[in-house]
Amino acid sequence: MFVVTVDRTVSGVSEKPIADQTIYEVTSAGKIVWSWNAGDHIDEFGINPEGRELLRKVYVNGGKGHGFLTINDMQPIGSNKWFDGGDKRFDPDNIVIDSREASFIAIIEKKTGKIVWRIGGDYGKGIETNGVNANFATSPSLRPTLSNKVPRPIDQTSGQHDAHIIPKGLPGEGNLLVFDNEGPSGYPPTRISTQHGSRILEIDPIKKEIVWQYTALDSEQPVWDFFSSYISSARRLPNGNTLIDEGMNGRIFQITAVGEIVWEYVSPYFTKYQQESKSIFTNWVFRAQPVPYNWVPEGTPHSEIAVEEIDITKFRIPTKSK
Amino acid sequence: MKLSIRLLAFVLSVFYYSLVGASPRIFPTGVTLYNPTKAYNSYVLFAGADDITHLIDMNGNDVHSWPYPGQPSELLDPNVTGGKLGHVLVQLKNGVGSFNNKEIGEVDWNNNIVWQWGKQAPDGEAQQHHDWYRLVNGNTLVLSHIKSVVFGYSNVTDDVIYEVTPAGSIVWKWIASEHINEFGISPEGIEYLKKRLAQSNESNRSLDYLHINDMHVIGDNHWFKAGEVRFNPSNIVFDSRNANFVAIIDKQTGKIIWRLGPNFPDTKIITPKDKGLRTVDQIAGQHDAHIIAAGLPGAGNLLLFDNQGSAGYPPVDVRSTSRVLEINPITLQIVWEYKGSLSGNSDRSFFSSYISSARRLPNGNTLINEGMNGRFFQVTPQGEIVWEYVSPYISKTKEGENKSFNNTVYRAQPIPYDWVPQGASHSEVAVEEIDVTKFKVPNQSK
Repeated sequence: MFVVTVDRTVSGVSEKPIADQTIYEVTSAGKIVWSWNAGDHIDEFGINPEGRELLRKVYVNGGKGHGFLTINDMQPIGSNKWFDGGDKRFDPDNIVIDSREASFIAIIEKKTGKIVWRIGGDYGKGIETNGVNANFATSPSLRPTLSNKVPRPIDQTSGQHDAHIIPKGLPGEGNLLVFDNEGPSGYPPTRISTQHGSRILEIDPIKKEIVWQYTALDSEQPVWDFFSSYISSARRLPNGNTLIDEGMNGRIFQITAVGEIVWEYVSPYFTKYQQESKSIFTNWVFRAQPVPYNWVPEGTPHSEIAVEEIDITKFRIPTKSK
Repeated sequence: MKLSIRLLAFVLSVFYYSLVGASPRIFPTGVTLYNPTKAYNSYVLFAGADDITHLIDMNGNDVHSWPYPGQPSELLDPNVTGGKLGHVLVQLKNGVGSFNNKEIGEVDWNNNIVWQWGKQAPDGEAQQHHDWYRLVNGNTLVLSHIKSVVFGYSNVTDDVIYEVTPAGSIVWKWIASEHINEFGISPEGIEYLKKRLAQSNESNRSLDYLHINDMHVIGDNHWFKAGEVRFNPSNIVFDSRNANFVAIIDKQTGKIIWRLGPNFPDTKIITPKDKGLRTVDQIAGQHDAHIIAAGLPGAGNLLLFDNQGSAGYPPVDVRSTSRVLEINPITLQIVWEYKGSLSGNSDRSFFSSYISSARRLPNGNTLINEGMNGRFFQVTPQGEIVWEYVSPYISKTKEGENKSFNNTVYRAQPIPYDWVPQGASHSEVAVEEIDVTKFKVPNQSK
């Protein structure tokens, strides 16, 4: 199953072809046996009238790109306790998607193509929610990024990635895990605090409550020290840790449930690409997948030598005088 | 032939991968790159997150320090100290919270307090924040807070500038809210601001509605010499982070006589393909706006750090990438711009949503402080990074706060060697560019 971008005219958004997104189910023989067009469901995504108006303005003359919604992940739910308990919305065949541009997460019913569960895009709280941290109380535009009380009702995500239901057998199974980038996004655009960072949210999809979260504050760092405005991923591990890919910095790390960083890696693999006619080097990583040792052929080596935390205040680049 | 070699050298030199961005937990500190030939060699003064004022040399050696913080700490030009070297302005006594600064003062090289001010201030406390400026006549301009009534809402945090004599009396005063109609805030913005004021009043908070975060005297400049009276050397330039504008105050009348923002032409924050100069587009949450001093490359232009941090009445759309802008203050065109991509990095690799500074250097380089990451670097006009430093000074957790460590730096000031007493050492040993793809934290298995 995969997501493609297709140029289509999306009624209610544009009279001209724009970048819409389609999910195909393809057999091993290459035949399409199921498909779903995002644009056909534009009224089901929770975009408020102001947002719809803005969408029309942006796309009135058509538009290409990653998709007007930028659906950036798509995963079948898999077997889960909600369905076992009779909640048909969580049929294992149903599909979780999220939209970066419109800041919503939704479940597609495989049988009908209808959206049967959703949070966002308009979280209904408006932009004026006061921050909880007094240090930021003077900022002109505040959102509850720094709120850390759990459980609490879901609040606005912005530009999120990798929304998926935690598989059966893992701690937190059945909950939704998502990398909330807090990157600029939304129809209409959501307001981001002056001092902000990304968040990992674990959400009870029935109560629509945040039951666990991670921000840099949980690792005793300033909130902006964990931030990727785009790409990125978060996966629950069997021991309750979470593997996080802070994608734009190519930083992949594992945290415990209380935010202790127990493994950290910075990708040494750089690429060169053109940004505004300039050559740019970056080690960005779209997604990081934890892979059990026994998923690869026997004999594949692995090393487990501790790297102890060093004192960064004394960690220097060597001076090399000629 | 010569030209092509130079071009090749330039192309090679910009292939520099920044070591820091939003940092991993483990990152190198101190000087990470230094080319003594291309850099402007000087000291740098800053208040570390450890609340100590540090004077470092180009190799990051802590050449001298003062046991005081400063917002900012500023080493005084010997021209305004009667030739005395190594005097700093610092915060002497702070209350709870960074804005409850009780006493400010001038401290000499040997830590003697030679001037202090606070008890003589209104309410007996300096309430200084974000900036100060020592004048040639010996007086000091102090940017402070007072409480005002704004649009009928009481107890609003307002900005005030005092001119204070060495004896401590206030001889000139400018209160921001008295000029609120001169800031160019749109009717929609005023409505938004009133809503925010109402909310703050309801929740017993005092809204810091303008958040003026810098204040500099313009100083000698070619505009004034050519008859442009708005640029009278004694006039004052400041910016408001929360309202996205930069303005010049007429020292004589107190009136705003020049302004950039808060409303900008509706262009996208991207470099257009054409090479022509373009009018300034939306700035957001900017810091350190000042006129480049006479004698420096770009003299007379406005230099500022455009954080692109959330701000504005109403809030503007921002990108999570900062830039440094050099602006012709007459034509309001951008004459030079620094973004991460100018150094061959992703634009996203250069970002500080708040604090930060940018200063032009005598050789045409610019010293940039990406404040929230405690990273200072010197760039050539072409964007080559010729010096880079990451502050190793980490904050101490204060009582009642969540444990956290950060190395943020509010502002970094370049200090010529001859501004401090003779005998102060400095080192200029190159730190060659390393290959970050092979730079590893040592394995430390027991």
